[in-house]
Amino acid sequence: MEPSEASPTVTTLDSLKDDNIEDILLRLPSPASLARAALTSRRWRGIASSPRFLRRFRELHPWSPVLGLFVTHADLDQLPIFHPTAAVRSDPDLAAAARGGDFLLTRLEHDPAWRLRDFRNGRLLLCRGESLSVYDPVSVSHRHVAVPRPRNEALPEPECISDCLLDLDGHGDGEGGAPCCFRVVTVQRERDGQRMRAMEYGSCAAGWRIHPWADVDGIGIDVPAKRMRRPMHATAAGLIFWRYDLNSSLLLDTSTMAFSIVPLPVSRTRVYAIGDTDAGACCLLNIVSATMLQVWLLKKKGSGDGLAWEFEKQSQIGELASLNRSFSVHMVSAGLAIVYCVSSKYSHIVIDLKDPSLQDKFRCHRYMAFPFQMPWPPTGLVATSTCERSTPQPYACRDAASQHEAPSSSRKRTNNDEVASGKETMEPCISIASFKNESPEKKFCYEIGPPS
Amino acid sequence: MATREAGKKMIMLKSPDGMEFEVEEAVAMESQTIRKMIEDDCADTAILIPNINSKILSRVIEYCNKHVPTTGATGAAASDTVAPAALAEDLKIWDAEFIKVNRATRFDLIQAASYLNIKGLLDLTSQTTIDTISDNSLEEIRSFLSTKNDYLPEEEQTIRRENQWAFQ
Repeated sequence: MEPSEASPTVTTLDSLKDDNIEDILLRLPSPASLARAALTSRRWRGIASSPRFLRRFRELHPWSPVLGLFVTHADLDQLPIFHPTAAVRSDPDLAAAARGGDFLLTRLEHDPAWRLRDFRNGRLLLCRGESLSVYDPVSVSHRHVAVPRPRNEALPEPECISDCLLDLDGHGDGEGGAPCCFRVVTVQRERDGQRMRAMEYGSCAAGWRIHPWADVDGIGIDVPAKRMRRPMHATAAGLIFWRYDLNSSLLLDTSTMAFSIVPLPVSRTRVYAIGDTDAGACCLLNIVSATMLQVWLLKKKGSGDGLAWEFEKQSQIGELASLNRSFSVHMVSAGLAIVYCVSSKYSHIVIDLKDPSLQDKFRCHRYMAFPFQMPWPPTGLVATSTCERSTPQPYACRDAASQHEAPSSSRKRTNNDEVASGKETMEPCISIASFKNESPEKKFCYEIGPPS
Repeated sequence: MATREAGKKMIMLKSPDGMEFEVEEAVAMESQTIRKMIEDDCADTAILIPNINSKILSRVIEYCNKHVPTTGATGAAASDTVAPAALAEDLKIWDAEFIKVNRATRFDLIQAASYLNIKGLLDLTSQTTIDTISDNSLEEIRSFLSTKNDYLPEEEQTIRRENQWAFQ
């Protein structure tokens, strides 16, 4: 506290202690305003980048603002189209992000074959044939990362079920994880549908790990609508879900890469959505009695290791959105539900599950829409050099048999395996290529630097 | 100084420039730092508040006087007659007047509130600082707060390039 004595005339912002600056920055109104103001000086950026600060800020502002919806027009042969939220016209920070971002996806080659496969924390996962791209419209330095698919050596060639985008640490709070890190998990099934396997790409290590085939009857995976060519997945809290049959979901836990089956809380329903709450918990939404929105949370079952849906709350949303027509819950992500309304003026209604309150409404006709939120933590706050990507190298994919013979580096096995169709489904996981000598722990991306 | 009711414990606060302020214990205990000193029996006669000059200390005491729970301050149960909501509203208006000070004084108050650990005052001063900069671009923030831009030129260039949107 010497500064006031050293310069008795004027106290400036720069003479305040770090703690005081931290107290001031914590009061910024939103993550978007933090992303901007924290860049004011090197000192501020340093203070705002500390994990302690980011954790405290997140506690005060638990969710990231929505910039808009990306709407896929696959059957029109168009790239996804961005519909900005009304708030970008009233909130100056969101307006700046919307003006400065690349929401037209201009870095992608012009090709209507690009498909939006998944989204997570301010990033999009797009796919075109064998090309995968992770696209960050807000940050310039990480805007477009090409992820080459591993070469496939399994015959007959397996079918790709889903490409999923996940946070590095499996949950959305960003704690400890650099915002420029992500995982892509691609799930394949054999043509006869008897076995499935996951392939995992970590951005920092820029390489694929191929997990062994698991005996999961993949035939049951449900394709929700005839015009959709592949099953829809949902990711939440490091778990990936697919509709399995009318009464259950197939689940892949990406921390263990074990498949299991979880019964739905409401049987014989087709209209439900799985995703995460703003706190990163796994939730399921469904609608009963036309306008009653129910929220269920996935919790550990009693003493065992199994998972089950537990009823959390329900609320009347009919009046909220002046909806008196039939509608269905379409998607839930980071505590925001997207409700699809068949015949009203607005087709997509965004509801904040916390209150619940109406966030915004959009007119996007009958297309799939993905909410786009500002990434957390803000990309400008973390030194990019720690996770700078070098050119990713494609690694050859071994088939299951040769993986089994490879030197064992067995990973921890959980009893989840037994939940999966009553059998042992996981073989010891073998890292390939650059990971060969590393312990295949969940956070391998932290341990392995980028190839030099 | 107003006459005090008998039985009220008084505390002497001293600023480094030699001024002394006699305040009720309840008022002084709005500061968690002073509360701790009193509770630990380190405050027999007078407490020297280092680093906070008399001008700022008198403002801080003014704030604490206003914010000390009303029953303690007046002896009578004032809160019984005034609705809590109206009281809060009154305090808000008072706060808004109180914080109409120049920038340097506000930063002094931030330092004092932080050292003395007075949450309400820290909230008020920090929030006011944020209110002056939110809705502004980085350049505007820099000039409003006259904070030093301590980036190296090449660093600044990189930050600008990678976060163009923040500078608009």
